[in-house]
Amino acid sequence: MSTYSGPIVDVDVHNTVASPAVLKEYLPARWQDYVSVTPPVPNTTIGLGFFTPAPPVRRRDGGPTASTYQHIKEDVLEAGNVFKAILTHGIGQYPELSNHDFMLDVCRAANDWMIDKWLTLDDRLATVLVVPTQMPEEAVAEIHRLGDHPQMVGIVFSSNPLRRPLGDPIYHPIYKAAVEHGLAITTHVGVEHASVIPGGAPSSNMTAIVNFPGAAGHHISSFITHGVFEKFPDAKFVLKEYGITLLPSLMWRLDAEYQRMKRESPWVKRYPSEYMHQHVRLSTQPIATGPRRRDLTDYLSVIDGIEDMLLFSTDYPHSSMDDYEYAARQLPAAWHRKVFCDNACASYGWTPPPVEAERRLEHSAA
Amino acid sequence: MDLLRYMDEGWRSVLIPVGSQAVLSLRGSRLIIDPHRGQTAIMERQSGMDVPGSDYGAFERDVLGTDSIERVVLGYDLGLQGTSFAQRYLARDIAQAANDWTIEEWLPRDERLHAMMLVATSIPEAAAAEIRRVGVNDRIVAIALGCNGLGRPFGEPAYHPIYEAAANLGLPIVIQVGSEISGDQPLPAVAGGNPSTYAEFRVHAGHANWNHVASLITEGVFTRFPKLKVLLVGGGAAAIPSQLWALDYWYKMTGPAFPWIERLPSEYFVDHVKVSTLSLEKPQQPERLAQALGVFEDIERVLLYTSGYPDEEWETAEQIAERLPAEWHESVFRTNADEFFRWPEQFASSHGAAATHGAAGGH
Repeated sequence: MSTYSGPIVDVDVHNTVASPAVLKEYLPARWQDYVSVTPPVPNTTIGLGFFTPAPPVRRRDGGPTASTYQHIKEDVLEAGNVFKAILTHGIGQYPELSNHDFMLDVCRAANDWMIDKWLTLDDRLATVLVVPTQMPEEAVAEIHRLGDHPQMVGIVFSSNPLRRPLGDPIYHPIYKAAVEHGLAITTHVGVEHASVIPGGAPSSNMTAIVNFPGAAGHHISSFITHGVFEKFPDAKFVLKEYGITLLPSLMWRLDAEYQRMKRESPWVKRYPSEYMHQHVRLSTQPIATGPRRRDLTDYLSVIDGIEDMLLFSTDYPHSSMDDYEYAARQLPAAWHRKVFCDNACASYGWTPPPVEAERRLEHSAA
Repeated sequence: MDLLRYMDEGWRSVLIPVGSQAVLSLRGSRLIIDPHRGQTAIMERQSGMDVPGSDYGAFERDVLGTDSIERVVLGYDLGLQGTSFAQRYLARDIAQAANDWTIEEWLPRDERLHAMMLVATSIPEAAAAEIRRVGVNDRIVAIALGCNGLGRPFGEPAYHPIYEAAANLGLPIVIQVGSEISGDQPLPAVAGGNPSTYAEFRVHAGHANWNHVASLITEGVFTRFPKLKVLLVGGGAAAIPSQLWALDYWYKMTGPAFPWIERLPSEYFVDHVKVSTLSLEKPQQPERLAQALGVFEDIERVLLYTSGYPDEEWETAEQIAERLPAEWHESVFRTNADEFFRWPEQFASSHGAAATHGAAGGH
């Protein structure tokens, strides 16, 4: 059994509003009454109304779980040797709201709330911007407004109101702005509205969830076939909560289409798997594996260097969260340092803390 | 055009004035077409060449010409899309005509030939009736579901009459890439929205099949029809471990929502589902394919060879064999198909007198 005691970057931690009213403080006067009748947390998650298992972490103090800094501090930051944690709202589907004007102000409010009530409290916290994706020009403006905040490390799509695969040209101005500010382009489970699931809308939480990796794969191939990584060579695409086992078959199938892509999308210059190695990162949770200890490693290691593409995440406090001990048991010890810390540091521009051995050397030298 | 002979007066009077293209192409409105392939096909048609797969001489040479071929199962190519007409009575009758055409014009030519029957799923009761009509032919060995007539995952209760009829006759179900199309529902061809390029379609087209598998298992189709079997065609196989691990993982978490499921989803899968080798992955290091597939212990029982002829990526058994370990060959190329399809001798032993012999003047 492998364990890990080095520094941890947790790239997917959900902090949530205790109630929609929390955002009122950050909304213009004209929406104050509107919020009371239109909750700014939209009812668009396709899982809503389905059976949802109870989360493993349930706090009974200070409001709903993950709604206060104290919760995150005790349950995440101090549960292990956490170097950084990236807050991903809970999950931030505000861009889905159908009243555009209201939606825009709610996105801004959520970002202001995040900075004001969370980022200022702890340097270990970082976050991703909620951008109004159904109004691409406004999304660009929001990125310019807050993108230089030192704890802002990405933009996030947790909903997809335009229902286009994410490499679509309509989104390129957003990506241009994100790259200018050094922000990772992030997508989180939730982007898959029921109407974009082939074969028909799933009828349960479970059947919905098993469709998500397929959609994630298509967003990646959409990035490649629309040339996003050629247009923006510094773009990083981080996909959260899709699991990691979607990679082998996706990379093989994409590479097999390389010749066809060169005809249909002549700006594709390299094998798709090369773009993926360089630009695409996946958060690890949920780690689903087979019955035998080696199944997961055997399956993943058909792709050389796959360990460079993985970023550890807990998904605190949701029902399928992985703690770092579980993740360490599932992944080979040789991958730990990269997956738990170094890959994320490279993606988000942080200097990783020194490894224990180096620390000891420093001590003995002193 | 061939099918019109098998359709009634009414349809002929409607379809013939429209011109042959309308029927010949039999394409649903949402089919993603490879622009390059499409052009070739049009040129072939203009020069009087046959539609790929429609020429028995070429078929005999390419498929039957090999000594090692003992049995062949005919499916449908674009005919599958013929069932995607929003005009559901037309879809129903096209499926009937296709079945009559196959039985009268193809099966008599060679004893090794067997066929899937085609059903339009938009009127499940009509599909069940068609199964009862055609499924008593002993050379019909499976049922190809046409397009997704109701735009719902195939496990949903509305489709159960089809499975009941299939189970009663011992016929397995075949779900192919192409069935993600629906005549009147705005379903995307692949997950995440419609793709802009054919390359994306090729990569992701098999995904809908996994949505159907999850649906068939969780909606209890295999508990209700314990002998029913399903074959998935056209999406490759390397994702099998990943998809089944996810199914088991989420089932363990949300199991209480499905009190009628008695075992892990992967266990139902192994007992009821086969995956065709069409579009089998081709990694640059071919031995890695066996490594990826091999992590799923029962993979040998799951894979089943289908050539995919005349799809542009069709492969001979020899080509597929090169990428799979020798110890899997017996299962993949023979025994899994022996067990999966309802071959004439199995039908005869279970239904005896009810069987009608496929080819007029046949065996």
